[in-house]
Amino acid sequence: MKKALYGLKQAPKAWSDKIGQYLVTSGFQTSNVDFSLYVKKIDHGIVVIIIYVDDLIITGDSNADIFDLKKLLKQKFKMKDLGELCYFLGIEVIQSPKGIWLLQRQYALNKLSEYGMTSCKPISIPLEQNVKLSANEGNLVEDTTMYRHIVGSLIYMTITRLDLSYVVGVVSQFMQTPQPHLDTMRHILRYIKHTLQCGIFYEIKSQLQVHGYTDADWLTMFQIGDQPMVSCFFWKWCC
Amino acid sequence: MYKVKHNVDGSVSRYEVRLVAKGYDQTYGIDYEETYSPIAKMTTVRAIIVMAAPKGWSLHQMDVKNVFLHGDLQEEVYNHQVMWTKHVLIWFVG
Repeated sequence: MKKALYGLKQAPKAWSDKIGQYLVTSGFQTSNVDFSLYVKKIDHGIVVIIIYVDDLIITGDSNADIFDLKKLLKQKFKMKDLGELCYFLGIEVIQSPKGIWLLQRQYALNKLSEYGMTSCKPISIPLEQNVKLSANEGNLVEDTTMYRHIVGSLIYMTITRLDLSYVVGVVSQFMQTPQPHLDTMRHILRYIKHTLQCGIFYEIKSQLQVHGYTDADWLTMFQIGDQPMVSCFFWKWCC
Repeated sequence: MYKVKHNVDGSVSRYEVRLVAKGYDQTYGIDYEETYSPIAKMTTVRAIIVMAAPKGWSLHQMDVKNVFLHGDLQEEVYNHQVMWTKHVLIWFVG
């Protein structure tokens, strides 16, 4: 056999090599940070390609170059042009003249229905005030798979829902214990229902700066066994 | 592998037949050397979007059909099932 086939262990690599080789011969360079990121320098800027197995995101300074590239790729590999980026891995991308919105509304809705929380009562705060969870309290549940499943979904939701980062950090401390905090989890899901429309907005014509904040609050400690844990660190992209 | 794709109203839109190799029979070092999948990190995707927004770049998306059929194999793959399956599929699809 000369061509790769679905199911073969080397099929994804064969595809990656093929597209990589093609892009390199077309003048692209692989990024050192992420091997799925290809950048090409053009006269007045750059063209960027991100590859996620069979999904490609293309962006860059010049629209003409983007269209040329799309045309070439369409000829070389049987690609379907999906036009402007609007839905990628469960993330809705809304491009407007004011800027770019990133939302995970549909993903959140799917998850709510999966966990039977579609008709729950929305709540405006993610966590009760001064809640201190510990491994020894909470409802005893034999099957903790569901709990871990929800934590996994919540972690994925933090891509656009940075406000969930803290609560996800709280609930993910109890993945191993047989007493997961399902009430807290329900509370978070109700909060998600209340804030379905929330996401990140990147404004056009803004300046790109990275701001770092740290929080050294030694008063609120979370007990994990005997070990007190204090670590809070925030990075904020300010655009 | 055989799948029936449905339309929104439940009517059959198309039949999808896919030839799948027995990847579970492959042994590392004998049938294949390296594996890798081109999966971009979510932080990369977001970083690019962050970069695109202030510059007013437009983001485009493309989707590759039958993505894993494009690659060329380096190793020799023997699969006696392939011929057999092909005949069955031809008979099946008609």
